[in-house]
Amino acid sequence: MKNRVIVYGYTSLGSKIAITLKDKDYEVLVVDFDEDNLLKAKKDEFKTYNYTLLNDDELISLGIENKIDSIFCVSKSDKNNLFVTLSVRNLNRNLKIISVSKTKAESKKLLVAGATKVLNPNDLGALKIYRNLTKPLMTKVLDDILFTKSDLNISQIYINKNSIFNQKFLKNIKVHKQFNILLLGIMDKELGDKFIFKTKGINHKIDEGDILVIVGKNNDLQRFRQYVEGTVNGTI
Amino acid sequence: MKTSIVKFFYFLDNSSFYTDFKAFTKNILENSKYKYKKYFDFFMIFLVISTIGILIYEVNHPHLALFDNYEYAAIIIFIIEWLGRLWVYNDTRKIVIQDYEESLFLASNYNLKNSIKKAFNEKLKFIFSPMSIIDLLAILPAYRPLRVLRIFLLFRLFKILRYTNSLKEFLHIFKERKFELYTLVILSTVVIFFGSTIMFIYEGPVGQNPNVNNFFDAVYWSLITISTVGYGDIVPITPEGKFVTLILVINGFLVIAFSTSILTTALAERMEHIKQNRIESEVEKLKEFIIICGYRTISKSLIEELIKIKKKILIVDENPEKIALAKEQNYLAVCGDCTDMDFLEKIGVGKTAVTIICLFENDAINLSAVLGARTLDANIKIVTLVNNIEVESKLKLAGANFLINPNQISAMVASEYIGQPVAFDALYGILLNEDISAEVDEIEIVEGMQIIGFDINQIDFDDYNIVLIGVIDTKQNHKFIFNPTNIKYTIKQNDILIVIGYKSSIKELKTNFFNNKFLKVQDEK
Repeated sequence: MKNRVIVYGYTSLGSKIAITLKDKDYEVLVVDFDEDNLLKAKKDEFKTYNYTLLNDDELISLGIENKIDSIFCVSKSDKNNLFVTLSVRNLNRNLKIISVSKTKAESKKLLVAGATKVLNPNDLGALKIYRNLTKPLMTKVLDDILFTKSDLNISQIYINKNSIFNQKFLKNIKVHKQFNILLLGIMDKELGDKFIFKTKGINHKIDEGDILVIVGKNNDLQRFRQYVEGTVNGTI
Repeated sequence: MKTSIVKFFYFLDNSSFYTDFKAFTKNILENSKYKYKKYFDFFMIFLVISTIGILIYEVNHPHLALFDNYEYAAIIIFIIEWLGRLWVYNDTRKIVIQDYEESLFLASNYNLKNSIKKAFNEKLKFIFSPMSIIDLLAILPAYRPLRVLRIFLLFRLFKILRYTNSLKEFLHIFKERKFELYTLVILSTVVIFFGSTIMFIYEGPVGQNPNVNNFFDAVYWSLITISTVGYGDIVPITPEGKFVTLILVINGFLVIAFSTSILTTALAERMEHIKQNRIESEVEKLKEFIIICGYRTISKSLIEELIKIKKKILIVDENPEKIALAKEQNYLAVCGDCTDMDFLEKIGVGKTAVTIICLFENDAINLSAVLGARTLDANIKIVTLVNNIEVESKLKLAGANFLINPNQISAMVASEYIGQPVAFDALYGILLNEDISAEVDEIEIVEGMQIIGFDINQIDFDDYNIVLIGVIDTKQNHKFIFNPTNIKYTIKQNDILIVIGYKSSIKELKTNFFNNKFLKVQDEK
């Protein structure tokens, strides 16, 4: 099944997100209350809905309770974004909600309202320039890994019961080297929901529910995943 | 004779020592932007103040021979300075050579006298300029028989004006407000004249007012009254005199209010100019700084980051309010139009600025600024914001090195995030400086590192708790080689290793690269 996402607000940012997601084979539903934006979205061949999403019925009719994977609140109205974030979180505990804010105060509010991730285009832009000024070559490499459809990619592997890594120690894992894969670190449920770098030097026992983060070439990643025999969570 | 003089001038023109020395003298005397001028100025101010101090001291103290010598030494320096100014005021040799070449070209007879006269006239212009007269008056009292002229020593105080820029600016105000000040002077002269005439007519005759004996007393009285000083040594007695006093007092208010407002408004206006000049001269002192055009939210985030790594920044914006905000944060900021090439040149584009970042919301302004900067400097690094994707190619064409589209980045980040949040958080978290436990960094292989020429597998990165992501091969057009530990890769100079790890461990590895400690311990095996 294709992952279904809602883009709330076909703004300049919203349209970019929708197009990027479409390229990655997501099923994108565009919701907006602005006629012009809706027309644009239709022109770009998206499924559009003329909703404000300010009442729960509209959200439920879109299947927010079980049929949607994530929602992007990027409409031109900050108030609406906040409201939608709150009501979506109310209806569904597990949905990924990504919102946008231009100021730090606003992003705090959104996080309290239940947003999973708040993006700040100003900060992102500023940091990008900063990286480019200070370490241009490195930034390019990382961008290649993260964003472009180059051969190199970053990926995550979910450890389940049957995985060969289950009950093993992080430091003892050397097998990834045969696959030409880098192991960056782990997210461990027992140590909180934070990502821990392998470089921290801890020797931790891997068990069910942990997530390994790896970098490598696409083919190698595929092979490595099959080798680990874990179920694949997320796509490349 | 004539030809030998012309030859001599040609010789001077060709002598690099002569021209350099003259340029140096001119710089130290006239060019307020010259580095060493301030030392010269300090020295001269000290000289002036010390000689005046001696004058004051000698009024009621015994005469000391040492002070005389000091005075003479000071005078000699003043004379040399004045002669230097006279010398650099214009170039006689250039006039002679130009005239001579012109006459050669026209095949007419060359007249040396004419050129000398021309040059001399220009020198005269300098001699009779107010500043030169002040200089001369400051030298004059040294001539013993004219001891009466000692009072002119105070003219040396005016000399100080020469050495301080801010006072010069103040004098400028008088020049700028000539018209208003003239009106003021004429108005008060008329009032004073009327007042003193009436006073003299009614109280001047013998016996009327014992204090008003001549017209000068009347003028003195009216000036003291109109200025609202009012000593009270001369007071009107007759009703007519008292009436005139009333009018003078009211006028006095007007004159003072008028003159104060003229001077304060002019000063305020001038102040802006002075500030601007100060920033420009400050910018000139900066080396390798970054110009940020447009002070907005995105600029603020960027500046915060850049300040952390101690970069020098100049903020430019058209909006004075935004400049005021930037100044509140103690940033160096200047108000001006970035699309104006003259302005860009003034703030150091093409000279000491190494990077210019255009962060305007309007792509047209960005484009214009990029184009202007590129025209002024072929090497400057230009970073610009792109708000509309269609303009991207135009901005590239205009010469921008790096384009940034915040919406595009946010969209990519957002879409990447929903796919694999953990992996994404991992790498982007450190990119955003959110996670301080580890950071992505580059290690540049520089000359002197012992590692050069070794196989990369001989370094045990695990031992340092560092993950090596890859190597950028600078020699091969910055090719990125991922995870080179599986192949045999020999480290070359100028390679860049990209690693993830603790700041301290990365530092340790870097220092170890300079000695042989980096090698895997093989002897034990």
